[in-house]
Amino acid sequence: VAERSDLPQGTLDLLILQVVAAGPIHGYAIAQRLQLISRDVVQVAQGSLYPALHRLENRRLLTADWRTSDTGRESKFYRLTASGRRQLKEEAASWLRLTEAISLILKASGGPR
Amino acid sequence: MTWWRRWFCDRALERELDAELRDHVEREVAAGVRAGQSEAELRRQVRLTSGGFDQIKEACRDVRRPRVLADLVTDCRSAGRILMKDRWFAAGAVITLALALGAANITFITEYATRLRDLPFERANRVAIVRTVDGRGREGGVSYPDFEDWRLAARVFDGRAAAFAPGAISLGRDGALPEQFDGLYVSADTFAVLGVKPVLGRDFSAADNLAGAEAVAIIASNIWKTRYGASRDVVGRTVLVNGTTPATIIGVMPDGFRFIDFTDVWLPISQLPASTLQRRDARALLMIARLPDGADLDRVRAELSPVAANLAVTYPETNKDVRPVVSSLEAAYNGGLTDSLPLLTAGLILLIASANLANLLLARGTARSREIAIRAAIGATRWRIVRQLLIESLLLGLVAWLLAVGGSWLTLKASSSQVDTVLPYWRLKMDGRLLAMLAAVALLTTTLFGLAPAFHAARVGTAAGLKDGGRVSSGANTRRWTLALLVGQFALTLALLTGAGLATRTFYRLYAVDLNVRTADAVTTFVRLPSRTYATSGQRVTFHQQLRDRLLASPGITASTVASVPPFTPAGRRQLIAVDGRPVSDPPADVGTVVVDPAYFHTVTRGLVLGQPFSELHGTSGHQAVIVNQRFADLYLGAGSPLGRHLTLRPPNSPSAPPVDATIIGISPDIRQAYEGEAVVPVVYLPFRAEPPAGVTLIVRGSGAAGTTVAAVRNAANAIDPDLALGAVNTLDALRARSRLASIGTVSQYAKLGGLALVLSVVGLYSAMAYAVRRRTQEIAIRTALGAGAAQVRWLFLRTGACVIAGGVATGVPASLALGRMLHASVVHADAWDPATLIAVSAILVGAALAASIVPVDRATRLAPSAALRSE
Repeated sequence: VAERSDLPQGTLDLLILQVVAAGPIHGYAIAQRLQLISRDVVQVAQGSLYPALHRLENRRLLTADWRTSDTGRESKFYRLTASGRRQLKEEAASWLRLTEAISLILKASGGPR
Repeated sequence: MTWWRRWFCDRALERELDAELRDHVEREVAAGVRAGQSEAELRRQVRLTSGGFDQIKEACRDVRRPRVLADLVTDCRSAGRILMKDRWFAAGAVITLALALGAANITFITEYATRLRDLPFERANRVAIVRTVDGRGREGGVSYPDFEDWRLAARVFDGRAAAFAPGAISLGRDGALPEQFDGLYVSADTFAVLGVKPVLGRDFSAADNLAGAEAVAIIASNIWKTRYGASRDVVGRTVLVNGTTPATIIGVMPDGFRFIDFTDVWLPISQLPASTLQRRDARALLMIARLPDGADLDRVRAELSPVAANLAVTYPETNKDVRPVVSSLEAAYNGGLTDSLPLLTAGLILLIASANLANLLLARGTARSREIAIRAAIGATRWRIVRQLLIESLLLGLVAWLLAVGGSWLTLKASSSQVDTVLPYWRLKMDGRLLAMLAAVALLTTTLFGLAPAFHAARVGTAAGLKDGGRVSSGANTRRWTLALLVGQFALTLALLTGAGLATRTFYRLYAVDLNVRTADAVTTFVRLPSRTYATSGQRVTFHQQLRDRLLASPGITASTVASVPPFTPAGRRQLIAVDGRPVSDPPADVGTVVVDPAYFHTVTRGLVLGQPFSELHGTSGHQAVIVNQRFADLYLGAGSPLGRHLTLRPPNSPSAPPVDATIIGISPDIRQAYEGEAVVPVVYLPFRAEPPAGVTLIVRGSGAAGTTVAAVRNAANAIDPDLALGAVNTLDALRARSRLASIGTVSQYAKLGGLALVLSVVGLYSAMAYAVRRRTQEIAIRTALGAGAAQVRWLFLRTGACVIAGGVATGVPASLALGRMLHASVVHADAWDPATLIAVSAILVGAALAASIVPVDRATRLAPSAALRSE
């Protein structure tokens, strides 16, 4: 099992937005997708996932409706709104800039000793 | 998700949340089962890792809306529910507080309006008003020659001073029926000194003020609207003034400007008779001047005094010892009519209501200590409990405040039209600062005492609260508080009610006198016969005889009379020099005089007490007769028949005028002329024929509506003289109401406040004591179960009642004596000390206290102990 790592403050929202950007998706699938893509590094508990989803919904970055999925279950599917898409773009760009900068600094000073 | 859905669709959102979380778990389990794990084990795992469903839900709810607000909504709901459940308590508390707040509000507003109102003049506190006082301390106005001398000599005025004199002014021949108005004769600078300009046309000029100038007039906005239909071309129109002088209207004053009191028409002072303007002893004018920056009233006094002293030397006949009296215009309008007593009373009532409320809340708090202990035990934080109680208290206070505001708004609406006619520039209106202050009082009282149970719970601790709370008896501490509050309330009420009782008794004594006047169906109007067309007494007498004959011939008119002044208005003055040749006092006493015609007494009252009314002969030479009222007879005639006694009278302020002897031919019942000074002034009635005044009040009694009677009077008067104007029409009822409002407003207000205090205290005393007893129902049951007799139990509680009564009487009686002295000092009609009132009020309060300790105890002792023990 890969080592789990705590998400920096505020990044969960960005990750959720990124996953939802692929198309309508329900909460369980979001958690699965995050875990899968991150190779088990990112594991989001229900207690963090759902408040985050609802927060994004309140901020109108996400919108949701109830649909019957392929397995026949009634699930709440989340989609990006227009402003959610904008937000994702901005935050992703700034995050990439930041991580690039951080790794530059870390490499320049010779990496962790 | 829209915000309103977030706030108001709680149930749907909860369902969705539950479904969503459940869906997640089901999917996780389904995935695990597909991978070959056991379902039961999976569910256990999921529950372990997810950290509990309810916590997740809470976290999601916090996202939905801030927790503080969510709790607030819940607390408000539960506060509403708790108050509704205890609705007798809530109603009692709210009504008590609302009544007291409303009374305080109205009282403060009235006081504010009469004492502190803003005048609609530019910086009214910078306008000085000058009057005079003579060597005998009598106040008077300023004569025109004195005014001119002062104006020119006092450098502080810079020549800019004005003088004016009131007088009835009639308008006619302007397309409407001739009508009499309140007028003011003003010097040219009057409006300039006040800083007010006409909204239409022009101000008076110096030329208008010269003797012999063409007559001009400025009218008030109110008659511009009613009489001239607010037509703009009223400026330049000619009207017949006082039935004799054509005058041109040159201006209209702004809305609400009625200087000096209720003036409708202003004329230049040059229109006053030359004799008035030339005589130094005709002090009919008032003088005003605007103070320049940096000057104060003292400087005006300092500059006027030497001028007055010079005048006294130059004109000793008229000006000896006459000194100027200087005050600000604002001070002249404000104050004087009222005193601080109603304020004090309103404050005390607020105090009583607060004590009532405190008692109710404390008693209820004791009853709730168990509930609060339970709340604390199942996890409510102290802040949460305090907040719950706080919200309940605030809700109580808020509802009471809203009721008070609504109630006083209605009261003000009802009374302001009446008040408008009595005092100028009264504005009874709500004041935001006052309302805020009352809200603060309401909320402070309710929260301060409403939080008591929370403090109690904090002190006692949860376990003790659960064990003891609401069970056997209220805590000793609360009981001490309750007792102290009850005693304080008893004493306050006793003092207040004794005062109110005094005021009420005085009020009704005055009121009883008014029953002498038959006010129903009587219409009054002022008639002034112009001196140019009715120069002689004979002409005036003839006119009134004709008018009377015509009126009595009109259908529906049953009686008609004239008097120099109607009842309920101040009488004229004479000096009573001697009775039967013996001087009465030195200096001679002032008595009231009213000139009346023979029909007066059977029209206005039910005839004379003794003797004969005037005949048509009385007042002609050789038949000098007077009628006096009972008050006069009591004061000056002593024992023996008053009829046939001789009086020697002289007009006031004219020591040189020859005294007049007259014989008393009748005694009239007391008819109030004004509510000033003594309850009823001694009055001498003089026959109309002896000295018919130019202006008289016509009092007509008719069987029809007031309007019909007025129309009949108008027709009859104009049939004799088409240019004759009638003054403002009133009913005797209205005159009485108005004079009462102006002068004994304080007393009646005080009586009302006292009545309110009585109701509040009796209710408060009863409910607080009864509540205290009810709280001890279980204790009573235990005592009864252990063998205590009903009498013993009753005595136990009577002891508390006795404590309250003893303490209350011991502190209340001295307080009420002090208040009585204050009342006597500030309200002239009131007695200082009235044992009957004190005893009656004490009896009512003692009765209430006793009833409150006996009735509930009686009920409790009759209950079977087993039932009482079970009761919560």
